[in-house]
Amino acid sequence: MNISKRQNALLLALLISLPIIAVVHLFVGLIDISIGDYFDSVFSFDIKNPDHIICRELRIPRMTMAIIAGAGLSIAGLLMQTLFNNPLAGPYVLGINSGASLFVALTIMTGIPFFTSDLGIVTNSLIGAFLFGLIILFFSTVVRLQISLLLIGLMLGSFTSALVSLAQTASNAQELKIFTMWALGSLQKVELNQLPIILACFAASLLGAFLVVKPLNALVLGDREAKLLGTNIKRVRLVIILITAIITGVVTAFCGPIAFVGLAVPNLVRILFKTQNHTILIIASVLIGAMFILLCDIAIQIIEPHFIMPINALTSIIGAPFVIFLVLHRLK
Amino acid sequence: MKILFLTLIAIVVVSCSAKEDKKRAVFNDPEKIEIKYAENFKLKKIKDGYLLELLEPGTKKISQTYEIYPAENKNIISLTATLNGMLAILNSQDLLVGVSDYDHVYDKKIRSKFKSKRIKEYGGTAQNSVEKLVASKANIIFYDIVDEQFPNQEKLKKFGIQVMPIYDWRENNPLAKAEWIKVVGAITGKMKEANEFFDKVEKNYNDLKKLGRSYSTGPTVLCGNLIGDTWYTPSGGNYFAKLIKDSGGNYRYKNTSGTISLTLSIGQILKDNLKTDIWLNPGYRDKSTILKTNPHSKFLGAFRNNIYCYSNGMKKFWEQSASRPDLVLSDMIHLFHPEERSINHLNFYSQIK
Repeated sequence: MNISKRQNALLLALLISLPIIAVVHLFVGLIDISIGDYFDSVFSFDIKNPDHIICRELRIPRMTMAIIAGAGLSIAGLLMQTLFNNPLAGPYVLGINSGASLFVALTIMTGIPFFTSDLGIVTNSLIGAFLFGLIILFFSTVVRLQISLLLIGLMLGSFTSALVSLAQTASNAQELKIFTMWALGSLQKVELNQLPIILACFAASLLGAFLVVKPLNALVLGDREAKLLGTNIKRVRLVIILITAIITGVVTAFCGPIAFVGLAVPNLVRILFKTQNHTILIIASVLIGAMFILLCDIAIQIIEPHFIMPINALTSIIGAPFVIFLVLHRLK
Repeated sequence: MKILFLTLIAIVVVSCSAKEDKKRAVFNDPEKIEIKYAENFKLKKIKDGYLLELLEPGTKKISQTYEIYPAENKNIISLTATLNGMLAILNSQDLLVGVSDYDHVYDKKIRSKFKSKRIKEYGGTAQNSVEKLVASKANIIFYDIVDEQFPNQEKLKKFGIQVMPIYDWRENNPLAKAEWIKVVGAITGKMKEANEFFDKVEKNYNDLKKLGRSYSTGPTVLCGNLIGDTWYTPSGGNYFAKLIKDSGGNYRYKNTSGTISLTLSIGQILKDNLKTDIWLNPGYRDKSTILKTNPHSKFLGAFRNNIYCYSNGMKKFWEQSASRPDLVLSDMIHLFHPEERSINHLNFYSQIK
């Protein structure tokens, strides 16, 4: 792998910064927790000690989920941008977020027995995300042009938005509030015992991304050139969509939709590293994505005594101006 | 032609001003109706009716004034469960032509009228169209939304439909909420019955309060649940905190100021309530649903077998709890002091399993 000294230094700085920020994240919050509490909560957990419960059941899962959400959505965004050869593509373009939102809306705001059964918001959100992932996978085998797939994804999004609006019209204030709060995203709902499955999905997606590095590097040159270099476009497209569906689906199911990370982080990575080598881009996206969400969540916890800021709102507040800057920068 | 037109205008102007003068004369010295607890409305007797003044919760200044003529209130649409309950207490369900949602109605008579199509559904406040409301031939609509303005209020007025908020939820005393039945008494022309009913509730409540407060120690109590990442629980000045105090319970956040809900993080709730004895009003009927929306609640001490909610008929609670705080108080004394023999049943509450 060709890597410049500058890129090497940047990666090293990111590798050192991430654990530091993660540790800071563990100690930010309204309740003072000591290092000893963390050790005890892991090695001699006492269910009657509130500090142990806060460490083990709230803060460690929250920090882990922040890393996975940031890293996962950034990888998904990077893959989408390369697949569609469009810097403004992100995980949402496939309509996977919309699928999760639709199923969660139906769970919360309708009396349809299937949705209000024991499945719960997380499971229904996962079903919605994967169902829409499957739909888009099906379309990816039918259509030839990437732009067609992009449009189908956007149309699926509009279609589900309309259905969600219908459900909202028929819902009461409490249901509306629950759905709105879900749509604003949260890193706090994840439980310790759910982390293994989330970590497994993330690891599988990350591994999958590294396995398609070569075709991804070829796709940067364009579909035709990639084909000439021996890339099986259809298969690569399928794998990329599968990876994106898994990671976006899992993150959306457990945290709600988190906007702009998948769009902004890969672009920031490209600006910083000035490379099209996807090995570097994937590693950097993982590190910067994780740090971005961790920092956002640290900010949220610092301002929490004065103002409750949902994660999706903060990522949008930071992400939207960045994307505008990006568009203006490219237009120049 | 010109003369005829001017004459017509003159007649309209004169008749309008005459009507206005007549009303003003009536309002010169209206007789006040006694309001003992409620702080957000005043009621005065005027000729053939009542004058209702709604007050701003903070400043206590008059924010809205309504002339109520019971004889005119033949067709009522009620978009609030509290009003349905109060109409049922005064046996005035016959006046109803519409409710928000049949599934939210508890009263048997209203339900049967719905089945015989004499009462229709009008959905939530935001979902109503002007034409649908005009077609109902209602002359008054009651709502309880936070916004002061009912959608299309001015247009509805042109069709002779008055809209009126029921702000019992703004009151910070359980008996003040119940006192809104006097407004319903004015609307239905059953003020005597409303006063008698309120006096009965007041006596019951005060007797039970004496009983509840006679216990020197009571269980520690937590309320509410998570919505999103925020745990909403009544602050110390809220009517529900007063109910807990009056029933001899020790509310965990009794010393907080204000009347609106406190917004706390799950971390704070866990820190404060691992050993709290009783968890009230999680908003769900079973533990599995609670765990789905709030998985960390399993660490709360009360989670194992001390969660109670008004699940012994949620519709019944929403319809009756405002007008029957004595029954809510009775339930709470029963939950907090099971050794108390004078109360042997629950009206609204049941254990969440």
